[in-house]
Amino acid sequence: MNTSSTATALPDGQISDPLYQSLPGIYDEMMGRNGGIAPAWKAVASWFEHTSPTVQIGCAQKIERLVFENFFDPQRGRQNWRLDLFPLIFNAPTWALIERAAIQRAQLYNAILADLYGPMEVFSRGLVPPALIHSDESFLRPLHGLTPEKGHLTFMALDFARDRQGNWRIIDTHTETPAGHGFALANRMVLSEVAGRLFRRSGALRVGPFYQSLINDLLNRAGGDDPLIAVLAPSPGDSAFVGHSFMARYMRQKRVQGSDLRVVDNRVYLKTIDGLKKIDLLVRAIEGHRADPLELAPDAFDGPVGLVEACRQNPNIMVNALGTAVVENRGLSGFLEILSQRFLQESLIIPDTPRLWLGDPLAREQVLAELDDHIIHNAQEGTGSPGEAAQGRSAAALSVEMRAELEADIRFKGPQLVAERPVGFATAPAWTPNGLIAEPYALRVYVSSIDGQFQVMPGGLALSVDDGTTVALSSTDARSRDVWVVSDDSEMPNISLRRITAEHATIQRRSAGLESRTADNLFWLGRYCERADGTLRIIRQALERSAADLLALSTSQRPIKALRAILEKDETSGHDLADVDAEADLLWASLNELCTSSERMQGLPKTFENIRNIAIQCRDRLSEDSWRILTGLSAEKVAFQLPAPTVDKDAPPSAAITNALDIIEAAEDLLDRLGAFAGMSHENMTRNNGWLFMDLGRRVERAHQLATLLLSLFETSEGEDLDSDDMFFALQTADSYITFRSRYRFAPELHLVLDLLVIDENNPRSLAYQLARISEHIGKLPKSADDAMRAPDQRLALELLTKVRLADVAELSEVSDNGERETLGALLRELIRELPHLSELVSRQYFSLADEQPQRLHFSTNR
Amino acid sequence: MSRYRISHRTAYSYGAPVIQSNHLLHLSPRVVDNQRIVSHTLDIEPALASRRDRTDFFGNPTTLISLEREHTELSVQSSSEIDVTDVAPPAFEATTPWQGFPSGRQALPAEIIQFTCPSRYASASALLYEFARPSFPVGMPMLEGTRQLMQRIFEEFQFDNTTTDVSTPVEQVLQQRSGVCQDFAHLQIAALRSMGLPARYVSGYILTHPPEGEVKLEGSDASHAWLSVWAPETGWVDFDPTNNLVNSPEHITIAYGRDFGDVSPISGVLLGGGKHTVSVAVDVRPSD
Repeated sequence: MNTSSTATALPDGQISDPLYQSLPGIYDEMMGRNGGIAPAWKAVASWFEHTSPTVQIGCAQKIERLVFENFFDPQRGRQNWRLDLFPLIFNAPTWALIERAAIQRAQLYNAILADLYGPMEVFSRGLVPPALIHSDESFLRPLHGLTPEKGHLTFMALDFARDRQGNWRIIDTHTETPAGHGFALANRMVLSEVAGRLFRRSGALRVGPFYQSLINDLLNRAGGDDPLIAVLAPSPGDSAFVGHSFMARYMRQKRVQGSDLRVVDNRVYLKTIDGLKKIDLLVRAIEGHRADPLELAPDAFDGPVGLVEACRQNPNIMVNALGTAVVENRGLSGFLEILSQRFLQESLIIPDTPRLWLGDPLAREQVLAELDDHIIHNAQEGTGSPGEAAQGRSAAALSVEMRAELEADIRFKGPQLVAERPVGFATAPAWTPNGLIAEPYALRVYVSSIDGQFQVMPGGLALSVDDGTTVALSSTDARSRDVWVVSDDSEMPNISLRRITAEHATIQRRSAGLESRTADNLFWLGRYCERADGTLRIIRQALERSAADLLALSTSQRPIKALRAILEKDETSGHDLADVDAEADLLWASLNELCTSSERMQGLPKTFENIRNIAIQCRDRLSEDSWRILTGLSAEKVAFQLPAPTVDKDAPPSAAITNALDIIEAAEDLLDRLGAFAGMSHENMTRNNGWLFMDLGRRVERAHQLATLLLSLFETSEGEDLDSDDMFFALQTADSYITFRSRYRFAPELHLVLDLLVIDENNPRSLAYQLARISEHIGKLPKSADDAMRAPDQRLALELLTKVRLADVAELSEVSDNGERETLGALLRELIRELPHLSELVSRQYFSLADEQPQRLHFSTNR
Repeated sequence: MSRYRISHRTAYSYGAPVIQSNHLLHLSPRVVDNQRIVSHTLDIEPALASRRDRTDFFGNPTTLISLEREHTELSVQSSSEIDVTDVAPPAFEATTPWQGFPSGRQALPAEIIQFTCPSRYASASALLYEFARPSFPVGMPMLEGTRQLMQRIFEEFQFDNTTTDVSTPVEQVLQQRSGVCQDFAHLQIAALRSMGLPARYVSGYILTHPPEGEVKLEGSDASHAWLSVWAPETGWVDFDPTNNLVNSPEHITIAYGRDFGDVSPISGVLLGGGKHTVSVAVDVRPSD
């Protein structure tokens, strides 16, 4: 217990009432019962006392920014995770109590699980009502009989809270997935960055060693010299995605989703570009009942088909084992003491919060009679994500209809419900710009099995709770706190995970085996970035001309043609531009389509959306800077400057020109960001298969864009003056004007332009350069051993490269009698046709495994 | 006693090659008190990558099969010969009054209690309680109430295999008053669970009789479903709301569970396959 009796003010006596007021009669973590600051809090309290409000606000803002970067989930478009500048601090004796209670629970739940999925003596001995377990859909009958050697549980978490008098109770149990580990880790990283020195001064324990031993233990369990461990997590749409992928990244293990895996002959494999790779250990971060559409929930594909049987054949392949969620059931609260007596021969160290299971007819009658005093909760809480527990229903606050509905639920769904009485929460200081305030809180503690023993992470996660109306961690906009455990021993080992893994570099996960899904994603990331880049360049160039010369718009249709050529790649229909006649209008209308239409595959909004989605999926392969760039891309700034699609015909041209300059600026800003990302991946990404796929995507897209541009500009000759105008346009769009000027000091001539843009393999923007890289990359990709002949993708790449290499610029520039450049047209058309084909061949060869979506076969119906 | 020869053939045909398929079969008859399995075989084509026979949580034999080579067809032929002993109808009136049942529930074994609990396709609700209640006045013996409820479903509901599919909720069946045997079984199970009574879903076959003067067509039977209710005095008793029959000697049990989801004859997941068609032929014949 906290040593309130020893609490004293600092020697200088500055810690006094104005600093912090706990609430009268309510236990406070910093002040204890008697109102003196507890020793464990002194370093932090003193910092607060001696640091100017401006610096504090600066720290809080930095936290906000870091939290945003770590937790923001662009897919869900919201970010309500908040982290307090003030940690929650526990001294060694208090933490020792929490530890003992948490380990006791882990042992107890493991014993209950072994019994429920084994002899089921809890029923025959009358320790647990059968209806409690049998009404819980997380009791997975197909897993009955499965007994993992090291027990069902490897990860679990418990939510602790003190009542107003300071007595501990456990308010929830999380035995399904390592939910929340990611949040606790990210909180710690953020706070260490802002308050690292304070952390060390406080003598708080690090969590690095805990995770390192956990990882080592998982590697040992997986066995072998170079085991393959994967964190099986839900797909990016799921709310738990951000937390799980953070955990996977921190633990340096692969995060995979159901569609990345395949069960063959009862073994679990990862689909990679080299074929199937056997997985040695799965860390389960998906809900058990969604793990196998064959034997569990038929409509859930979070795990691969056949996973249940794979687990039966090898019960140690997955941690936690399937089916562990059943002991989270809140209805068990009242039965835990007797279960502890039975399985552990000891009393509970800390009991659950008082609860009634409404499957019991007597409890039901009692609760219906005193409904207003209770909060009704589901016995089984689906999600383990902190802050996402469903709100309970409080009869006192319900309308007449909802109250009747609640009563019906109690009568007919009683076994799936529990009734709780709010008992209040103790408080801890929370930071605000105006000083510290006392806030009710609950504490999440993480337990893991390491080397056959349960161990508690020395830290955790605390959330502010809504006192009085809740019993669980259900507040949706909760403020979280990092949890510091302050040891008496001032010489604590100061080791972070990063350092340890460097020392044990040999146990890093194997780098071979790029997942098909990731390869697919990186390929398309390359394509989309290049697509956005190309489109923005054309937009910039088209507008620069109009801004530079009021009349330029009417001197050439080519910029418009170039824009239209992009739009025409799309098969999806957007606005029909056919009936726009004035050329200036056509320019604006085309720009509008490209910048605002969210349906067009070639348009900027869709392209940026695709980039963001891929970035989320490949986050573990992107640096923080790349992640920030990619998720921040948006066409809004460009679109914002656009005049309405139907331009006011009488508006002065200067208005359009001002707009044009603003749009150019916005487009250049986006081009800079894309350029920064391209530069970063070029400089910083290892030249492994992942990089190859991304660069391959870039090259394919760039070649396709350039071919389209050249075709739209030069297939038809419109006389020398206009052609020369368009040559500038092409050179500038393809970023090759400077190169051209340095070589030739006279006005562009087409055969020289085509030489530079089509055939010159030294120009990184030329078609030949793209095709040479494509051919080179494809040659480096893994090929199956029995593929003695050149693979079709390799053959096609070489064929296209050779065609371009053999082309003759004089022939290409030649205009025939009908005014067409036929040779040029034929070559460019072939490229435009064959490049998508090449892309498809690569997909089929390397990503096809990722594309397979299992389908559920209809049941044969009874009559 | 009657002996039946049963043939149940399911054939799938796929529009595109299936790369891998996994199926879970509940096609092998389980042991029940009044049945003896004389013979049973399961023939599957094409060749399997793996086959595993096991017993599920409810004691039903199940078979897990996987095919890992490309295929465009799958056929599963189940052939059984089974002896069925007649069971006398229970003394409906002598069973426990229905309100007396729930209070004694705690003391009952889990194997029975589990069938009072909600499941994917058959959960208790106020609506179903209201539907069942007229058959269960105060003091009504539980099996007599069950029999009357069965009779009401038989009389008030239309057999119609176009209005429902496997995922149709019982509340909708109740509202539209039509469905197939599976819907009627789920409806009555959910209604009985709403009264606090234990009811389980039975999957099996029924001997059908051709219309007067006609010859029975080969393969014209079908798999069938009904329910079973437990009373302290009688043990499990079969009720068939589709045919208004109790403990019929022409019903052959294959498997039982909480609902269809536990005992679906064939369920599977495919990689590839495109669109598929399925044909099912069931033949039940008395054998001499």
